Amino acid sequence: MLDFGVILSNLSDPLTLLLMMGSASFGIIMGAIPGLSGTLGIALLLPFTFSVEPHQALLMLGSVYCGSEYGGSIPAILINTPGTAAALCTTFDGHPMALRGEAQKALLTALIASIFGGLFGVAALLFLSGPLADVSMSFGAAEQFWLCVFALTIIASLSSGNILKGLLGALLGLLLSCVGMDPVTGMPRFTFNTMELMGGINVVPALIGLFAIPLALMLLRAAGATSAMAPYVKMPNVVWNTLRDFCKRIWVAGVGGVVGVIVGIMPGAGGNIATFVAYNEAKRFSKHPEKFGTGIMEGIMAPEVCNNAVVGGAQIPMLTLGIPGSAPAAVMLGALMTHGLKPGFNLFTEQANIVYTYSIGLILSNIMILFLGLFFVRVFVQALKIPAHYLLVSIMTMGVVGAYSINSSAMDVLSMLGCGIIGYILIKGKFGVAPMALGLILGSTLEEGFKLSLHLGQAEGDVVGYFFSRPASLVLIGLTLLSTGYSVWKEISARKSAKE
Amino acid sequence: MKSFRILMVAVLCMVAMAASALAADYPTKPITIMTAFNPGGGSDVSHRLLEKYARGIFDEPLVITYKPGAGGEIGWTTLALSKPDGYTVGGVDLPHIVLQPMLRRKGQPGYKTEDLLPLCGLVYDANVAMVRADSQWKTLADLVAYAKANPGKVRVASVGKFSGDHLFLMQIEKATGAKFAQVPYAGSGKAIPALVTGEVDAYFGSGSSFLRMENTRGLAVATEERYELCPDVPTFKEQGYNIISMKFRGLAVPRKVPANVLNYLESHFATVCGNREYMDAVKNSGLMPAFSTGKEFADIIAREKSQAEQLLKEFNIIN
Repeated sequence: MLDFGVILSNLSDPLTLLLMMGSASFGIIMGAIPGLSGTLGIALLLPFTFSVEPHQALLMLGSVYCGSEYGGSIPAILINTPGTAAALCTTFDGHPMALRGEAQKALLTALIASIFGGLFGVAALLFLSGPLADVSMSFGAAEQFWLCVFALTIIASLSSGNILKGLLGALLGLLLSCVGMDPVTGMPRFTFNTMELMGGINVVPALIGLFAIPLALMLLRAAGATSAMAPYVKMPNVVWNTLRDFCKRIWVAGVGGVVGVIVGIMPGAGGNIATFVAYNEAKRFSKHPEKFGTGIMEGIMAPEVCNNAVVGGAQIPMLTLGIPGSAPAAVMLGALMTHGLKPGFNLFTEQANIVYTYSIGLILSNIMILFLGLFFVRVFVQALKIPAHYLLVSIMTMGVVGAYSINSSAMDVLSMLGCGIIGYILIKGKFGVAPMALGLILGSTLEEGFKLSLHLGQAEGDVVGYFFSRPASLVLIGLTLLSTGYSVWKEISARKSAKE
Repeated sequence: MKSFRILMVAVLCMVAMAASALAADYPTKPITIMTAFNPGGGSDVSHRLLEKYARGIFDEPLVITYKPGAGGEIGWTTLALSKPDGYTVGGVDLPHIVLQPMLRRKGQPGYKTEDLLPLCGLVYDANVAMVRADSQWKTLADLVAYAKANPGKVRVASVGKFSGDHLFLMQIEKATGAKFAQVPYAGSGKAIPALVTGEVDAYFGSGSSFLRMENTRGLAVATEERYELCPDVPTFKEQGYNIISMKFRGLAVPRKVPANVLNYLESHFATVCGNREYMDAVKNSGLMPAFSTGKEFADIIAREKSQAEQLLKEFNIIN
């Protein structure tokens, strides 16, 4: 039933293109505002798609998804606050680069990386959805646990110099992630008999607090102190220079893309965890890992390629098996069913024209985002011209509005403010906020994987064996050991050379 | 002072007018449908279909909002506490809304089942005992025989602990005398891959999950008659076990919503639910459309409540 003529005419329809363009812009803005996310954007746009054709609806929602993953990098670079949780790692190098006066270059790197990642993910969706869907089926509860353990090893590189402080930060994050309902038994913990804490500490408001509030407080510092605000510097020819430098470091993009697709297809992992893994891997394979975190292009490329590659990856199990690989993909799945499409391998044969129009259309929407991005970069970089005292107020306002708008819950605003204070203390004590953010993000996924594996192991009568016998688990355990061993070796050799 | 008084009178007049307007012509603004779960889940799809087919039937649009958290507790507590003006309608799920208040730890605040006024029932989702197509168990009898010979060895996925799936599992254990190892997943999105990949041996859960999977076999469905959405699957009754188990989705409002508002909502939702296209879309999403009036839905809730209470007592989970 696959008819390329139909696909071509679908994709050359000016109305479709216009809708995609609008949706992509909407997505970028949703992503760029901390607190508002692609998930929310897709949910908000869904009712407007009821009156259009299914393929147009999917393309609109897909464009929002792609746009939001790119948009998240903008505030990460400019004000050190990730617009979406998946853009967290972009702050590590994006913001230092902006502080050096290279904000435009950082923004363009994120843009090019996003497009590369988006196209990488779509390519995987188009050509490898069959085999990758099978791969996604080899990840179970034990693998979910081991992936999180592997992701935790990034603490070592996030806190180079003082692993103990990093571990403490991560523990704090893990502890906070325990508040609320037990992910497996559904029993409340650390709720102090309040309704408000039943829902737990939501990750996104907590991240806004951890990143945005300390920055805002830092902007309050007296004149003369080193500014926390990135300066605005004009950069001639920046587009071409960035593109050239990007191509020189294309291997980083490859790492980010592969990690993004693989973690994307895992049900229950998603972009938040993927970017940490990608950042860590890019750093490990780099010839100068010590430069990561000081504002280098590789540090922006890895997470940004990765979180956009997740878009394609997460939709593979969604379309072929009806199992979403990420939160926005879950909403897309709902949208699919509202439009009367039934996910599953039959979708690719029975509704081939719609599915292929959608997949190929995602390529177009990535290209649109490229051009939209070139425009948005010019607009957003102007934010740096705003005097610090105005910007500080806007950041705080945006933080409160963003935290509230997720679930319209005042508790989220409070947890944002609480995390903000913790974040400020952590930064002042040279702990950094990244390990704690990592702990918060991984906490419930880690616990869920652990407890389910316990249940499964118990039924088999061999709990330890269950954790250590599955092939995919063994791969992840091996990676974890390698990663830890490498960090220890690095640390020791660094100390030796310091002594000499 | 005088101008202040005039202002006060004006404000009072407006309030009075607004109040009478509320009673006389409802609705005058969009009606919010509150989902107690995240976007993208089964509840969301049900509500989106209502939103889609309510166009042209309701005088104002329906707007979907989300109030997720703690397995629905937060959303339903918010619903119970919301203003009873008919502009906040919440999606409610059974048996969730009877189980949560029943099992809630002492001291932990939250809604009571009675705080939610049933508006209408929308759909149901029959529970199915399922295994992989290549499983060694061809029939329910095979599975029960194996589980009896190897108690606690058959790994069974369920969505959640102390949930509808868990009740279903207890019903099966009670009726057959077999003992299973429950593996409680956080959602059907996790339980489905677990069954497909062989992480678990069986999945006792929603028919909507069964309909989404390929290469699985339904051993038994917990309905009175054969289930329209998977007519090839035999019922428990046919196989000698009296097990009826399903999940219901409906709508509820806070107590004290005016009667005329209730009538408006109930009759208009009845019209939406009577639409053939709507019904087909619901079936396509894996659920069975079954409209019931507020009164009928209240009876269903009461029935589910006493059934759950009895079961939980028998398994010594509550006393």
